[in-house]
Amino acid sequence: MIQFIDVDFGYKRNKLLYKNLRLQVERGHIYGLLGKNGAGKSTFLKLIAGLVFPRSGKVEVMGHVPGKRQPSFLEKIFLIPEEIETPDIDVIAFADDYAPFYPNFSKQQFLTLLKDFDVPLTNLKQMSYGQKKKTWIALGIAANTALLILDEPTNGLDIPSKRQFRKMMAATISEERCVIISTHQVRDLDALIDNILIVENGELIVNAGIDTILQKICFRQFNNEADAAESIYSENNLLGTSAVLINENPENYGRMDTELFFNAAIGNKPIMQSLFTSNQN
Amino acid sequence: MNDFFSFKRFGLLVKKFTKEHLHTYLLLGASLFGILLVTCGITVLNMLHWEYQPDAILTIFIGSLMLSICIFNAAFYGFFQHKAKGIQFLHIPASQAEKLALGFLFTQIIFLVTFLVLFSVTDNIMCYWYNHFHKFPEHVLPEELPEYVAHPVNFFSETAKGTIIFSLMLAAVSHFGSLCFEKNAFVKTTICILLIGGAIFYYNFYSMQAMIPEKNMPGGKFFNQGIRLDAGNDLPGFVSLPSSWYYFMYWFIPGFAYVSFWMASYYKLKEKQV
Repeated sequence: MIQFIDVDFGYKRNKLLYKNLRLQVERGHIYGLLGKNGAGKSTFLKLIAGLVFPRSGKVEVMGHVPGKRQPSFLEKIFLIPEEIETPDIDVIAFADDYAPFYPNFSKQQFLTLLKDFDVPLTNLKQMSYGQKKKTWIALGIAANTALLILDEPTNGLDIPSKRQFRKMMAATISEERCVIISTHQVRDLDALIDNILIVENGELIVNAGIDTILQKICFRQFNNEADAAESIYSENNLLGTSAVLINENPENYGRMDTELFFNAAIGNKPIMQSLFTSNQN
Repeated sequence: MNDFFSFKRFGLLVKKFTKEHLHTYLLLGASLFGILLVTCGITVLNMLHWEYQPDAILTIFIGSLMLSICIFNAAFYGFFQHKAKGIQFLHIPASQAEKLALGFLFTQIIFLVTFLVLFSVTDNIMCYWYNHFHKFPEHVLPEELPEYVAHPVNFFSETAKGTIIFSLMLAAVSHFGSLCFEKNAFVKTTICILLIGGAIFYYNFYSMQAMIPEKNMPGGKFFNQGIRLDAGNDLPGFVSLPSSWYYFMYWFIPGFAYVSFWMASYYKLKEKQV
């Protein structure tokens, strides 16, 4: 669905943010794009959406070159940026304005999602930031585009809304659809994503499915730090030491700890990169 | 699917844009009307004991049209200052041609029509006001009486038509500037235009000097020192164009600049990154 072939990108000519980026993203999955603040997550999403253009290499999304921003491409993709803006109009009128541009838009679904999110059917001017964000999320889901991109969608959402958001996203995925969610709040995506992309300093450290990750590594909790000596990565916490180890028994799946995995990817980049991005090169 | 231009999509875009910006534009229209009323009102107030001076109102027409159309055009893409709004605009499923046509409709057609209507209403109010309230001074001769009757500005006069054409050309430049500069587009575009204009005059002068030595000129000066482009001028030292050239240049230069800047805007919008 999405293909990056040797993509170079930088906001300044002499300072590249991404170099030789190679990547493939498939339909039917929810991808979690993780990275620290300023790692280049939003830029990565903008490259997919055609809002910035690569300096060299090729980005292809559903057979289109995103940078051309053709209507036939734009109607298949919905992007919800981190910062949102809404006009001072009624929420229904807001949806009615967008609906004709997206052939698969479902107003009924939009109204149901608003109800689930507990968003009042009033003027957007009277809504809080969180309610506006939920309106945008509902609009994005109801547009039923093949590709849905959400940049930090859980920012501004309260705890029940975050739960509701995860539920909705899980319900929205189909074989024909792909969702990419970027966040630096890793816990927000726990139990939602089935593929992980981690970017750091303009490099793709991880691109792998949860199943593949759990086949290759496992997460253990030790009482003593010394017991984690063999680990790829370990960190101390109130319960002792949490560690990431190579899974010696791929048949035996453990439980995924996304936050620990993310910390391991940042903390031990070379090993994690060799384990989880080799299929891209 | 037609990826270049669809009237249906354009219609939807206009509807959406109008709904979202109607309040802002109504407020801007009211402000413009207020400014015109105050400016023309003060001018007419000063004329109440004198003859009516249509040139003063014409000057307000020229100044206000040029200034307001440039400011409006330069601010049209001001929403690119807010990344989210810029992303929404670029990502709505419509082609760049449709998005540019939206800008053309609002900045050229709707603005110009609105301005002409507002100015016409103001002008007519002022004419009515002057004709009802002014006093004839005692020494006025009967043949001077027509000078004490106010008439609205004729939009079909040569000066008014020239002003409209020139304003549209400036609007095209400002519109392009609005796409190039996200912040202070009006100021930055003005500075660029002044610098480019200065460079053209400078280059023009020295290239003329290189081709024809100044001492060979009848009056010892080049025409561009007087910044004039005119026909049938007999002043020594001024190079006048043949009348056919003059009339050609009269529509060609603004027309060429207008089309060029709109084409440049199209490509700038196409290459816009946020």
